[in-house]
Amino acid sequence: MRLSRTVFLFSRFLAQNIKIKLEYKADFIIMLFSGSVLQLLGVMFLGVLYSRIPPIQGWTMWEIVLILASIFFTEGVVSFAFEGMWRIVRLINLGDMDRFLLRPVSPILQILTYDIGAHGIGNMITGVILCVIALSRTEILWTWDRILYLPVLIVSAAAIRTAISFAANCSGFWLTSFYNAFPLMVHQMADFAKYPTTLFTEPIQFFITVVLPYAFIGYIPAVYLFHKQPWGAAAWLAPLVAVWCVLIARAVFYRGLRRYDSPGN
Amino acid sequence: MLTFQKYLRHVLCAIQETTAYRASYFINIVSQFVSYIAIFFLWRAVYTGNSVIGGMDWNDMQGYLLISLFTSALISGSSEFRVSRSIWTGNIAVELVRPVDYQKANFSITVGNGIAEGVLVAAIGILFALLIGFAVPPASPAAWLCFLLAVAFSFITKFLIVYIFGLFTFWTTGGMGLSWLRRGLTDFFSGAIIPLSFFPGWLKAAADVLPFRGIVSVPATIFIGRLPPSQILATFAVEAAWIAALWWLARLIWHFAMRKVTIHGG
Amino acid sequence: MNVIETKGLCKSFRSPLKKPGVLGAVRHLFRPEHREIVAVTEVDLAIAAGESVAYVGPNGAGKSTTIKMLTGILLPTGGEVRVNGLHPYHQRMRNSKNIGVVFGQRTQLWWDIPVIESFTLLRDIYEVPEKTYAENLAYFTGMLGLAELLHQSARRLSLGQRMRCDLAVALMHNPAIVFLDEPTIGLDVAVKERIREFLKTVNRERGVTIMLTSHDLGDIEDVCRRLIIIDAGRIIYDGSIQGLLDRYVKQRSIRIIASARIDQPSAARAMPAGVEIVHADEREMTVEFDRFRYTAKDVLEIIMTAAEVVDFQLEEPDIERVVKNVYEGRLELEQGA
Repeated sequence: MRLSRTVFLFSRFLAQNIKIKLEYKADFIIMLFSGSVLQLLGVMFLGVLYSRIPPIQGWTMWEIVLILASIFFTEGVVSFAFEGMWRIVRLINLGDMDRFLLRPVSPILQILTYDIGAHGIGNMITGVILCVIALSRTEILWTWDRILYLPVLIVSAAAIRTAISFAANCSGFWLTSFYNAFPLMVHQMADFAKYPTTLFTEPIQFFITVVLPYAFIGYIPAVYLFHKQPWGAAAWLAPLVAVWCVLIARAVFYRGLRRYDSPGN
Repeated sequence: MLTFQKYLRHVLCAIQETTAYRASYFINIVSQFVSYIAIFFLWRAVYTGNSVIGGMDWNDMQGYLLISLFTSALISGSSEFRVSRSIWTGNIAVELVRPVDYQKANFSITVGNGIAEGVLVAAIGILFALLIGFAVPPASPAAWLCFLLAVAFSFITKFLIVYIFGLFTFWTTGGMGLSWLRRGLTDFFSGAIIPLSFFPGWLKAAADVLPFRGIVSVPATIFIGRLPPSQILATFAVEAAWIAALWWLARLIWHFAMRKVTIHGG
Repeated sequence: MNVIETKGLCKSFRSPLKKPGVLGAVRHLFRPEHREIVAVTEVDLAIAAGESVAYVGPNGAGKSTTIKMLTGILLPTGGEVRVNGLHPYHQRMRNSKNIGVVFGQRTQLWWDIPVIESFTLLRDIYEVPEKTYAENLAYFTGMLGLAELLHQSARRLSLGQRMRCDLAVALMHNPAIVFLDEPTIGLDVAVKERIREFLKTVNRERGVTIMLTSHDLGDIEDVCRRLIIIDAGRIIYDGSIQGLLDRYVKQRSIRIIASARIDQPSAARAMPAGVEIVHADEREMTVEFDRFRYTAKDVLEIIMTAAEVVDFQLEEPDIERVVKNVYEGRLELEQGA
């Protein structure tokens, strides 16, 4: 599909979804609120932890808060724009995937934009606020390449998260149970990215750098931005990692679609 | 007797349903562990260089995390999902015409799920604990008894909180936001990821009056012997009071939900 | 030119095999068993542009599965399939521009927004030129009476109203073929009538090829000229509706009313082989006869020897009965007949 058409349809779907969400105001507010509360609880956790102990492996609390905040922010962007992927299991089980397959538009685009997550707005706002606070309490030596890196990071991190969660949700093609914990589990593994990767044993480090490259959405960029290690420049691999993840997710989807048996009727 | 059998049947059906989808069943089990792995390593890193934090040493902490994992596995995401699912698929109408008490039926089903999943998680957890050689179990039979009682309280309390949040699905379109909020609140205030004794005074005071602490903190601290025996009775009394309150609160919310259903036709 | 062509089309699903009870469930957990369910097998179809075809069969016969393979939702497990010369699964996006689909129990409309907004969204999705869209919208609004529905949200529409909107959606992008899976299910007679009229008109005026599944034989007789019957995944009849009757309905019946009480025993004695009294009353009688051996006139003459006929009614062979026999497995149609 042409990129301009994709962008056009994406904006059409997004606008439509916002209109729909505004019909259910209570829902909207609850989601917004719960998104923010959840992130604040995450920060409180760190606050309580750090109030008892000195820096963990040379990372101060505000440095970790900055990692956390950037993860919140991209998570917010992803849930706001692409929340539809969390409906895949439902779409498969109720046979509602059918109508996406009947239209001359990529089913992936239709699934991603099937819903928006109002809590994403909460995440984005908390993320930005926390970023600002954390930035004022940490010291980053801003070189031009680090400034240039920021937009690259946001786009790549959003793409990595979307691709991984999307692929994980595609497990619904194989696991036909109505409740599927697998995507949530994969999503939760992003927890590993919230702390310095060196906290974990080597198999886990390998896992979150190579298998599910969550390290590229939080820890590795932070190493680079804070000048922690000379290898921090590896953070520039993030866009490549993102492309790789997207291609895999796409392949997983089309493999799964072959198994789709369109229940109902 | 017949009434009892009716609900027992729910328990058995739930066991069957939980295990109906093979792969999903095992994945549900595995996913219970995943989030704890991150937490485990975080604490391990925290404890290197600090022997005692918040009155707990690394051994205590491991036992604490083990119980936290176990209690959270007893009511997993799938039970939570059940209530909201039947509401948004409209299946609630079918369940409503049956001659059973919805709240009790749901409780029975959750017990069934808990048996099907919790048993395996407990087995794996204990195996894991023995392998690493940590977690000092309660010393006396009395302590064991208290612990088991605390687990029962934990189960009922968590069920009620999950159920109440599930009922809110009547007023929203998707259960997800609420279930996240629920999970965030319970995880934090129950002491699932960070023991309450680490909290600053004002926060601990808040956590102490809330019902959440019965879910993880009470059974876990009893297990590792950090809850003074003199306080155990009073703690149980407070928990029982909370359970009664939540049970009737759920009934009340249900009552309002039914009014909404009859107006909107499900 | 054939717009739909399949050769040896097959589809089978894998389904878990479970023993009852908690023990059975636990056993499946560790040693799962599956079995193959054949939904459609060896289906050959050749449908020309402009035809209107009814695709009929009992529940679970494979109707929906076939339609879903033709529309690109399901990947066939075997055989060849071409719709407008395209493979519906592998060239799904291109194929979807040429087809319109209506599933009776599903809707293409967005639940929470006004119908007209669903229409414009679908216009953008199908890249319908503004001029075509305006023309079609006016045409369908008139024919289906959509004017007062367009500004309501889909969730407020009745089933019949929604189905009318869905028909418009399916045809908005001028597809060459439209597939309808149970379009009249659960609708009242007036709406059914309107939908049938609509389908006949677009078939006639716009040359749209129609493939329709339905349990309502009224739909089939009214809209379609050709009938394909599928049973247990196999096609058991493909031909005209009249052809089916000629070949498989041997019996016709005649109902008479007599001026006086009929003497039943003597009437029964008067009937030769192949003519049978199926219902008798004081002054009324229904007789069934082999329509290939006797004409209606023959039978009437025989009856008149036993009763004073004042009125009679001839009942024509009935497709409903044939299909019912197929559904109940009583009529074994020959393969390829």
